[in-house]
Formats: sequence, structure tokens, C-alpha cells
Amino acid sequence: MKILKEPLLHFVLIGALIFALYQRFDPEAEAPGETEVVVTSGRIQQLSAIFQKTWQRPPTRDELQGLVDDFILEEIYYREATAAGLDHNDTLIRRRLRQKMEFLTDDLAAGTPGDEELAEFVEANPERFRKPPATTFRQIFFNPDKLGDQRDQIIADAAAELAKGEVPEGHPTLLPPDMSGATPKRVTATFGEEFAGALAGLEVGKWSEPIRSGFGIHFVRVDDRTDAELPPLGEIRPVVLREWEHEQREAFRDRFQSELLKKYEVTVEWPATNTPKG
Amino acid sequence: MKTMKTMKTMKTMKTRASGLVVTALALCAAPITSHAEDGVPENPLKEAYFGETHLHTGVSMDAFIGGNRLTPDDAYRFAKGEEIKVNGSMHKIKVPLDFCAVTDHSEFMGEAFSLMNEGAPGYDDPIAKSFRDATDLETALMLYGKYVLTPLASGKDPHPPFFQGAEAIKSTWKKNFEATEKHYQPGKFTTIHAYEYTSAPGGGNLHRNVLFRDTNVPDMPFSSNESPDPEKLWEWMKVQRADGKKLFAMPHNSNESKGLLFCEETLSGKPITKEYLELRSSNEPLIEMMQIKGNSEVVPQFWPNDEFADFENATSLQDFNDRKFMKKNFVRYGLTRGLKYRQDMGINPFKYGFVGGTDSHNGAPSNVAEDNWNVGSHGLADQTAAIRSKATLDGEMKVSDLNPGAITGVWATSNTRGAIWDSMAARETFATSGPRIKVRAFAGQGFAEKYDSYEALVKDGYEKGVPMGSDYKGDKAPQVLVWAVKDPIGPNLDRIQIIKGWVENGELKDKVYNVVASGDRLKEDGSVEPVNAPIDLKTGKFNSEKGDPELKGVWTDPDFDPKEEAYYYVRVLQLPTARWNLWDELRNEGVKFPEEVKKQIVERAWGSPIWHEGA
Repeated sequence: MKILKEPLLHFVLIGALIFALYQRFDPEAEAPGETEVVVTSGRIQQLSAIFQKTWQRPPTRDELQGLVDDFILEEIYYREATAAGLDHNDTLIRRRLRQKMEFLTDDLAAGTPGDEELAEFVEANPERFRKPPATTFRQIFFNPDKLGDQRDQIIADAAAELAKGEVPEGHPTLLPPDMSGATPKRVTATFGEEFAGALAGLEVGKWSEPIRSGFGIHFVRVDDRTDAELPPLGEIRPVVLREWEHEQREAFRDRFQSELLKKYEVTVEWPATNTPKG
Repeated sequence: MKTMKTMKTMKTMKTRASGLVVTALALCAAPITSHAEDGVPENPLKEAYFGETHLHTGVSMDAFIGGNRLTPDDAYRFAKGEEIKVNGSMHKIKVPLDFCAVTDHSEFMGEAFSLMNEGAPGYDDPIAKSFRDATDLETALMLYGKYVLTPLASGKDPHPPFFQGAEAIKSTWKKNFEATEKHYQPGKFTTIHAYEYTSAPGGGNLHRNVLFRDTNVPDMPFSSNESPDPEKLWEWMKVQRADGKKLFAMPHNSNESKGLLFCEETLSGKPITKEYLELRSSNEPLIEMMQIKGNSEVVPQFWPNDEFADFENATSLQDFNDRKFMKKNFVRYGLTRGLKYRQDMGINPFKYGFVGGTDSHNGAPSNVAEDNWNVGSHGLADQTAAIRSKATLDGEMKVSDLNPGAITGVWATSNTRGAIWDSMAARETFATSGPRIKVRAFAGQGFAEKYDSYEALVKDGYEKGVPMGSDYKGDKAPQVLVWAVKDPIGPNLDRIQIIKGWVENGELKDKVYNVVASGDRLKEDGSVEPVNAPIDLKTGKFNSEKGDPELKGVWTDPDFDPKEEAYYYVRVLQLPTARWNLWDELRNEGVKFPEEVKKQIVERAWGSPIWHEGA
């Protein structure tokens, strides 16, 4: 029974069966259309151009022939498959088409706002464009592992030294002894949130009380701090434009979807057991 | 030239869209660096920047089908710390990223673009032309209403003759390009142009992420539709490089590669030649050590002497697609096998530095914290705690075997595309299983036992040695200067290990050395007293007393043979923390994972190897 082991034959038989079934039961199925395949010179140019884009050289005659042959088969498969209705109720195809449409509508949402419009946008959303505060500080570190039982004493001694205007020697660490113009993000990434939070509340020009971090205990002196500020539009225009476009896109997508929904009469037939309450 | 029209279109789009405009995209073959990078201060001693190198948005067909509607724009927002609706609920990462590469699948990404070519069918259609030329929203909307919506509403064929042409106004590759440009803020947040080449012949994972240095990117990415054979990808990359573009590829999931990644013959069944080795090694400086679908470093069954090999092994991968584990699927094997190629044929094709990624299909970069993994990674398949406790990720593995994924650390002179890409190409990188642990190593001679400051240590490292990712060229046993610091919000560190691989009489060998441990736990014989710092199973909290916030030391190879090929890479272990499933159980009443699912893990960092090439 060699015939049963031949996968290609199985495929053809199953294909024919599916085709016949769809022909009979699917009212949308079209009759097998024209059986003529024309590969236009424009199409060949296109295949050739894609090849050229990929390999930075034109295809050889053989390579081009291969591309054309493959295109012919793809076209025939496409026609046979759509004629057989294989595209119907295929989740993959449905979602791909939705995706294409969404890409398209997203493109349409773009536009070119003037400075005035952007300035208004900044005014309405100042928190999104504020430059973060920048802090310049020094720190002295004490490692809890090395403090041991004498922890309170060592910390108290260090605080006393600082009060006298001297700088106590901390424990060796590879943490940075100082940071210049550091944003809260940078401070958090290096010392953790707890430290960054405490740093924000420190007075400028004065050594702090001991501050805890995930690493240990620190004395910190803030030497300079620039507060958060809203830069002029000229400095932040690209960012403002990006945010403005983002909003436009969101709004456009909503609008587009409600437009689409308006064109359809939608009936949902909830099964008795699943009817949502309220 | 035919390309001119499209290039012009692309340039116009950028000019409109962003201030980071780089002129003459198509006209200039030289590498293009944004002018904005020029003003960013550089730190010659380098800083560690953390980021995502493997992420899918709704642009990836499989992610879209899984329900992901997020765009690269959303992904970059998430990376910067914004709260975004991810997989059905509002979510954000605890600490924003420094950089991010969106790596959507290239398959079907550039297809629509083809119709932009002059001569293509539909190109000359006057309606298509009016669409292409529409520069403002009102015109575009008018056209869309006239040619698409109106026919749709009247029940007519909604496809105008040019529809394909209109769709091709922008290919998805261009859209990704645009979003990536818009979010780049040199010195603050770096975005990298990238994509994933997705080839899996016979179910063997040969996927690669491709990263570009600047805005000089090809019109279309090379996909597995063009060829599933990575050799073709490398050839294509070579062609791009000759054209002035800068790019490299990074394979991932060697654990799913069915032995095809660290191969003994080419994919087409030919013997490995010197040309093959040359082509491969010139295109692939890095490998992804770990991601959502498992850690590819080692597994206990083939490395029984590595007491920390039992970590996110994703063993249920083996229950699907006939992806049985074999030794040659793991990174440590690949590194050592590479040495033997070097010995036998003069070139090491597997000279890989390390990166870590997520491969999240939710559009949420580096959502890697175990205690913040509320939204899963793959759409509906792992969306809620209740689902995660029972489900299987469609035909691939058990959800309980997933992990939130890994992250990449790069030692770079500034947070710019150029600096980060250059350091990646030079392999001065590390990967962590999620925490922001920093690790650094140098191999050389004459390092001090103690340094007063970090600056002094790093200076000495560069002066007397070579950094991670490089070749140690001395003929005396290398001293390896290592340093690691914990994640500011994570637990303390347990120890630093060095893994040495070498070839001895033709045999592949590797060994784990304990180099530094917190407290006085490192013994004469090289073993370490276990730290014994379990988590609190009732609260999920880690032990905050034991371990050390930072570890450093100098280790000298006791068995060095200058004639032998060898590599050394660093592994840093932190104290145990709760695995994501314990957080799921603690936060969701009634959710119970099977007994065999681990409740605590030892998270870690891997520093890229330093190689010694034999005589």
C-alpha cells in the first residue's frame, strides 16, 4: 500500500475534499476564477528591486527566474486557497488584516502642529516636560558588616567629627564618593530609592544626619541643587511634538473605532448562562 | 535611482517628526552619529547602563495575535518608567531603564514596503499617489473617508484598486524606526534600531537579534523568509557592512537549539570551513544568556559539579517539539567548544560575550522583577496568577517554568547609542537574571590587593589588564581583578565565582572557582560555607542581615598553561529571594502552584568572558 504513505498525495486529496466541501456549503466561495497567470514586467521589476535592496546587487538571470517561479506558485496557491475559502474564519488572517488597518489609521493620525498649539499642550501638561532636579553631593559610607556591635558608637563619633568641621573616614567602598548634577533617576539607580528620597529633603551646604540605604549608612552633604524647571519650548520641542502626536494617535484611534462601530448594527446573542449582570 | 523616492519619503517623515534628524540617510555611506551625541559628557572609566535587548510589541505578528496592541512607542514609554496598560492592566517597572532595543520579528515586517518601489503594480495609481503625497491629517482623512470608509459603509468593495499601495505608505519597519528615533535622548535614554531574525529549522531555535549602531539602517530587515539559514543572514550582514552600515547579531535560546547553534557542521550539512568560522565570528560578538524561556548557561544533568546549575532551567521545554536537552545546547559548552575550533582551525566562532533579555511578547521591556510580574509575558497564556499556576505556554513549556527574564548591563563611556553599541560590540557587557547587580573584571598582572577608591581600581584595571570581553595576552598566569555590587533594592551578595574553560589534550574542560565570599566563609580548599539565609516563606522577604553589599578580590589561575586555549568568566550570586510564583500565591488567595515549583531562587550576574588564546 505505497499510496497511503505518500504525504503529497494525502495533501492533494485532503485539499480536494476541503475544496469540494467549501464549494458546496460556503455561499461566499467563488467559482475558480481565471486560470491565467500573468507576471507583469512591473512585478518582475519589483521582485528584482527587492532582491537588489537585500543584496545590494541585481539578481543574476537564474536568481530572477527563481524569484519569478516562486511568485507564480505563490500566486496560484493564493488563488486556490482563497477560492477554496481557506481564508475564511482564519484567526491569523483576520487579525493580520486588523493589524494592517490599525497601522494605516495610526499613520493617518499624524499632523503638523504649530508652536502655539504645542505651547498650549505644554501648559496643559507641565509635569510631563519639567526638567528633573539635579543634585551635587558627597557621601561618607559605613558598612553595617564592619560596624558590628560598635555601630552606634562609630556613627556617633563620625557625626561629632562632622559637627566640628572635620571629615571622618568611612569604610572602603566602591560606591561613588560624590555625584555631580545627578537626577533622581541616577541617584536611585546607584543608591536606591530610600537614599534618593532622603537626599531630596536635605538642606544645601550642611552634613546630614545618618541616612540609610540598601548598602549601609551614609552621611551626605548636598553642595548644590537645581530645582525642577519647565524649559522653554525651543529646548524641548521634539519631545513635546512626540507627546502631542502620541495623544493625537490615541484620540484618533478612539474616534476611528467609534466611527466604525456607528456603521454597523451589532447584535450580541448572549447565551442564557453567560448574560452579564447589571 | 529607484531607492531615492522612498528614501526621500523616509527622510521627510523624520524631519517632520523629530528634532534628532540625521541628514542624508541614503546619501552618505559613512557611519552616522546623531549630532546630539556630541555634547554628552563621557566618563572614560565607564558606567554600567542597564537595558532591554529583546522585546516584542504588537508589531510582531505572533504578539499581535496574542492580543498585544502596544506599539514600540508604548514600549519605550514603559522602559522610561511610564505606567502603561500591559496585558490588560496598568503596570510599570520599579526602576526605569537606561536603554532599550525593540526587536520585533522581521518576518512580514518590510513586505508592504515593496510596493513603494517605482514600477511595482499599483504604484502609479493616481489615488495611491495622492495618498503618498498627503502631508497633513485633513487631506489623509479625506482620502481615507472617500476611498475606504465610504465604500465600506455602502457595502461595496472597500478595497480601492491601490489599497495595497496605500497600506504601503509606511512599512512597519519604518514605523519602528520612527518611534525609535523619537524616543532617543542622548545622555538620558538610548534607543537602538533592531529586529529579530526568526529562524527555527526543524524546531531548532536559531533566532538572532540584530542591532544597528546608528540611523544608517537598511530599507528592509533580512528575515527567515529570505532564508532560514543563518549563514545567509551573515552574508547579508557582510553586504550591509560593506555598504557602511554597522550591525551585529546575537543568538538566543541555545537551550532550544536542538544542537544546531554550537554546531559541528553547517546548517546545510557541509563541513565547517575557515570561511564559515570567519563569517560567523565577525558577525556575532554576543549571546543571550537568559530570558523568559530559561537560563541557557548550564543544567545540572550535564554539570553535576556546579552546585548552582539548578537555576531557571525551564526543563519542561523538553516535553514539546522534541527539544531534548543535550550538553551542546548550553552556553558554557559553546564557549569551550569555540576554544577547540580556535585550536584546530585558528578561529573561535563562539567567542561570545553575554547579554540578557526578556523576549516578552507583551511590549513591556525589562519587566524582570520577581515581585512585580503581575501581568505575565505572553498575553492571555500567562495573564493572571490563577492561569500561571496551571497553564502551558502554547506548545512550548509549562508556564510555571517561565521566569520574568534577564537584563543586559553595558559598561559604556556615556548613555548614547554609539557608546553603548561600541561596548556591546567589544563585549564589555554582563547579564543578570533580573536584579541590577553590577559586575566588572579585568585580567592582567600586578593588581593591588586593596584599592582606596573605585576610581583607583578601575584605572588600575585598564592600565594593567584588559576588561571583560577581551583577550588576555600575557604568558604568566592571569590575575583576575573582580568587583561586584548588589542591586540597591535587592539583597546582599553571597559570593563571586570564576568559571574557567579550557581544552586539555583535545578534551573540553571547565571548572567553577569560588573567588570571594561574604564574611569568612571561603575555606582553604576553595569551598564556601553555605550562607544559610533563607527567605521568609510567609512574607516573601529576603534576609537583610547576611551577605555583603559589595565584593571584590584578585584571583590567580592556579593551573595556567600558556599554550592552552582558555576563557574566564565571572558569576556573582546574591542571597536567595522569593520566586515570582511565591508572590502570586501570597497575593492571590486560592492560587497554588504544584509542590515541585521552587519558591526561592539565587539570582545572579554573569560577566562576559576574558579569553586567553593559546600559542
